Amino acid sequence: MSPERLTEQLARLGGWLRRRRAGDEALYGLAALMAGLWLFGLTDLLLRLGRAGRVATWTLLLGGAGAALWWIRRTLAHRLTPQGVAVTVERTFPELDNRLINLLQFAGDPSRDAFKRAYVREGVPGWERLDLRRMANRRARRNGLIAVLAGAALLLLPAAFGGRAWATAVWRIVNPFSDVRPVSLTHILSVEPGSAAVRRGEPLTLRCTVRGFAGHAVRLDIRPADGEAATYALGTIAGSGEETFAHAVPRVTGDLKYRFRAGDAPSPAWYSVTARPPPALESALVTVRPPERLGVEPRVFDGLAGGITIPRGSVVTVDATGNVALRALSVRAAGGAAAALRPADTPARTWRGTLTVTDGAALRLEGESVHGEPLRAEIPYRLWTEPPPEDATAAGVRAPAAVPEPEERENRERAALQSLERVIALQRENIERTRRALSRLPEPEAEVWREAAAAQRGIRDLAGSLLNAPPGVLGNMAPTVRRLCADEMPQAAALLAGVPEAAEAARAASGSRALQLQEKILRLLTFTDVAAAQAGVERRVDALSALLDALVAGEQTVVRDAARAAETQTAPGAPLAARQDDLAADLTDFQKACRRDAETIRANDETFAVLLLETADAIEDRKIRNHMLLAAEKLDTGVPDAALPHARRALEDLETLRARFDTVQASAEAAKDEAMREALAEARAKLEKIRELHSKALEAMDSVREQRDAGSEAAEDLMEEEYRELLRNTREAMLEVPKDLHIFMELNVANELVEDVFSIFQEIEQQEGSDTVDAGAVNEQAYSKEGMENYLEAMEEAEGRLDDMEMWLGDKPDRDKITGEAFDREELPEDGIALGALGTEVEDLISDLLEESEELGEDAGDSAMNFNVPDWEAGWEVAEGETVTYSAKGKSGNERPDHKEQAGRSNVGRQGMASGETAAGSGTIQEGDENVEARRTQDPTQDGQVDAEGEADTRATGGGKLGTGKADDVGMGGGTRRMDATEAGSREGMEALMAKRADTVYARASLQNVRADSLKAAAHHLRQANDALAQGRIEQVREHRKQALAALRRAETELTAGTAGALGGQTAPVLDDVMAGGPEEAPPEYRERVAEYYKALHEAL
Amino acid sequence: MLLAGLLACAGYAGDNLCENGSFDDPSDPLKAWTADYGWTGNTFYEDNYRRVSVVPQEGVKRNVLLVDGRGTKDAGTKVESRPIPFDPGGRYRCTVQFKGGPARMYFAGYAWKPGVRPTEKPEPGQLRPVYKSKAEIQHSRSWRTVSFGFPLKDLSDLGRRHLERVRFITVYIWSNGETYVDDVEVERLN
Repeated sequence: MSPERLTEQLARLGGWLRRRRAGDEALYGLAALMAGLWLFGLTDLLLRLGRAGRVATWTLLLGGAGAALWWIRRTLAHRLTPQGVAVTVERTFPELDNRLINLLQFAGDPSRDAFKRAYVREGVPGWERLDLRRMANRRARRNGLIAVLAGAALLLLPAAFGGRAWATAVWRIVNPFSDVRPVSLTHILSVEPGSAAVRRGEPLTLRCTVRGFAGHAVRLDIRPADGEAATYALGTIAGSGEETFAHAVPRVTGDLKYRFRAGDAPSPAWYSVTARPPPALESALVTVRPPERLGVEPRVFDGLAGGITIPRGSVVTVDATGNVALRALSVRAAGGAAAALRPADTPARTWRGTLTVTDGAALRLEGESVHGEPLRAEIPYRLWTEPPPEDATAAGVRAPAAVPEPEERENRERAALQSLERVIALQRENIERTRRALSRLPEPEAEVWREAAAAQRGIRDLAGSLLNAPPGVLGNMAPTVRRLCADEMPQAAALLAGVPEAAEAARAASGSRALQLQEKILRLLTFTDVAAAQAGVERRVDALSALLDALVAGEQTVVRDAARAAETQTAPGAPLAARQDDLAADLTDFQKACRRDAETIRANDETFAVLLLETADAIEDRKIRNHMLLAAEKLDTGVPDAALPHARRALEDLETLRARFDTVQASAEAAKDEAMREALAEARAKLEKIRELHSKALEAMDSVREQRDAGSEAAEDLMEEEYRELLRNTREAMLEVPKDLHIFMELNVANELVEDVFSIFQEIEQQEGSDTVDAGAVNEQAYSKEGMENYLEAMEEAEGRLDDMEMWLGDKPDRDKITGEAFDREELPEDGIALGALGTEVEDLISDLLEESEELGEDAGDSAMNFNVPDWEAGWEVAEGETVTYSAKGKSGNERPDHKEQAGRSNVGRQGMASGETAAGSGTIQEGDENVEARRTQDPTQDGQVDAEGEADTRATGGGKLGTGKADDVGMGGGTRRMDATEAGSREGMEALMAKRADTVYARASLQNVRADSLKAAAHHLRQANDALAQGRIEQVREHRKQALAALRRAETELTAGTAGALGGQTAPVLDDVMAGGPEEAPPEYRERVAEYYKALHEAL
Repeated sequence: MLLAGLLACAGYAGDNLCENGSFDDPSDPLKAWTADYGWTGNTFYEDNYRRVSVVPQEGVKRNVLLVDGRGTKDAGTKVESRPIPFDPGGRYRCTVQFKGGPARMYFAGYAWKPGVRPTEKPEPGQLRPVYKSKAEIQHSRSWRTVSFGFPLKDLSDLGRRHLERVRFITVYIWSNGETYVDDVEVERLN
């Protein structure tokens, strides 16, 4: 074979190898694409990708396919040289022994060497017999095919489970621009109203229609722009065809987004609801062009600001801008035809039109928004029929100096008040209507409720029209009316309308709620009505008073300047005369205003109306204006001496009038004060009356009791019944007096214990920074005993225990420093403080001590006080105050007690200086006042047990303490020897008693030569247990008791074993009362406790 | 792995330990809530139950608990959930939708009253309060989400001693105003 032909064959072989390799790569690429499609399809099936996600995955797939194509093309384009192919052949067929490659190289050698020529000529032995198909990479082809098959299986296998859902998911990945939705069991068919704009304040119903799987829940997500997102469960699908679910938003207050979710329905879309404000004018410019004959320049007014004066016959141009685009707008003045306005911009928010005004008091604009909602507005003006003043300036129409403008304002205010009264009357009617409807429940009265709802909407519209009136008409009433229109009134209307549709059980609640809302509306409106009228009176009186003050001040200036001119004999000049003249003119205005306002306010305040009329008459009677004019004339002629008497006379008269004004105003305030005093006196009289009634009842009861022995129980019962009736009537008649403080029972005075005291811990996080507040923040309060006489009466009376309200601990230290003037001891009741019965269980409230600055702790301490009460209705935040109670309701709290004597009765609480009585049968002293000053009083002690907690530092203080000072060695005993441990009830007492008895028995046994050393040991261990308990070494107590019991058992054995041999066979009497007889030997009042003690010992062992 | 993570997260979401926290129970909207405190004998709360109701709608919410403390002088009105068994090692959080006020909301911890035989479902009066969590004090004119936890992380010895006695907790709501509450959820955090 010639080298040329061999080279040609190798070239063909190289092409075949490239194509073969490219085929393998195509298989791998296809397999990778199928795997990617499977992965992304699965992702869409599970996560339901949005369009963006699908486009992203599609881009990835496309990128992968492109990379594969590039790879294949690169393989195809890479041509192999004959030598390269030869090397590949040699590798596949090693038996060629490099002859192929050598032949190619020798054939290309130009040296024409004989050997090489012979080698080339010989050719490649066996070349023709080679099976070149062996050069194909079959393994790669097989792997590629396997990969493709695996990819196909991946794509097809989910179809067996997911069916159409899988095919849809794959298709959605392959074609991300397709609108095919993922397959689901439930479908949202429609959503209403979708994205929409609704009028602000209007109700909105969101509705969706679904079809799907029974049991799937339908939910609504709402995201208000100005509030918290909320989700509503609308129900579950019944599974029978299409179903509609709806949710009513009673009032759209702002923009919101919403979406419906139904079962597995895919990708619920968010819809936007835009709250559109009701159509209104944003601005209104009124250009007034007076008739030319008046010679007045045109002027532009702000139509919404008011104060427009239009000369009759003026051409008025209105530029009105709405807050929304308008479809049409026209303007009309009384007595004229409506003039259509034309849009001046796009999208038709500003409209312009011209009309001639010849009459009327307001320009009425009527139009319609592009949404079909009506727009109505009114621009009030004053029609000017007089010729313009001579000094009318080029700046525009000058408002006349006369008073019609205030008149106009008053008219508007009067009209507003009348409308408000109308609103109130309608609201009252609707309340009655609602009450009637409520009384008829549960009978269905849908029509009545609808009427009530319609009436409520009418009330709202009427009130809303008041708000649309020019600014300032409603004055300070406006905020209240605005709030009612925005909140309570629509809510009440919605509730009324919803009653018929509500479930039968919920109708009463819904109706009651609507009634409450209406009553609230009425309360606010009536308050507003009265307040507005009263405020109007006060405003006018204040204005007139200020005007009078200005007159007096001006006249004083005139008198002063005139006097100076008279002294210096200089001409006062024209300005002073002009000032005097102006004051005379102002006085005339003031007089007119007085007469006018007198009529206005007569309905609300007769006193001031009379004053104003009298003032106007006095101005005339005293000829004040004449004096002023005479003074002006004299000043004008340069004779201040002659002017001065007139000016002074006018000033005196004006000051007299002002003094009357002040007197009446002061008397009005005094009347208010007097009314308050009368109310207080009346309340006191009522209290006194109740006290007398109760006293009489008490006497009657006592007399019945005295007759009880004579068998008059029936009369006693009758009297009790009558008394209860009296009490009930009294309560109903005087609700402001909730409790009377009489009781009819024998009182237990002191030595009463509450055995069941339980504490509640409250978590407190101290207010930041309150721990470093200094003494400058202390709030000082002082109480005089003159204002506290009622306490003296209260101390004498107590009734059954008063209930407590909700209580809690504060989160910052007490800053109040309360100082009270204490009652003298002689002033206090001779029989002491009346004590009511204590509760069978008492609740303590405790938390960790608050941190406070030392300075604040010292300076905010209260003084000791004896404003005592037997009991009170405790509630709210726990703090030290000015009142001392004997009801043992004090709480341990979270503050140290003030460094002062604490009277009254309390539970154990925190360490402090107490002069009162502890009522708790047991308890633990908590950390408190660190500077307790030890002192001792002769107060009696009583039963009980007190433990010292942790850092509690007990010292001798006054008051009858329980536990008798056994808290520790230097505790309540005051550093002296502890009181007798056998004292009532204490655990130490039991230990000591037993030790003493063991000693006694040991002594008796010893006297009888009975060996009972173990008794001595037992007594020793009991004493040790006693000491350990007193010193707080609780862990040792058990050990000592154990040893004591062991010793007692040994003693029992010793005693029952017989006497010592020294007695010569005589048997000593068995002392069997040491263990078994212990309780019986104890004093009767201790037997139960001793028995418990032994029982506890046995259980402990 | 992503799927497994998602499933794990979904599974971790705590259960609502407060029964009928949405006041939607068709038979009794106040089911599992205590509003009648007549058994206490406290005259301030004799007719407390009259001032606690479920209103059909308040603002954008339906079936809402109304705690009306107006006109009660200072006593206010209270309501609390059915006792929830308390795990001493547990930390709890309550989330409520709130509007109105002023109101105080907290977890109340209860122990058995002395002499009462413990049961699975204690009746009112069988428990005694021993613990109050830090109160959440709220006053809001619009709906808002309020959450409060229990117990505090850094509890003192005194607090811990009281906590050891707690066997049940309730969600306790007190108001002397007009308070609306909805969607009460109690979850255990650990």
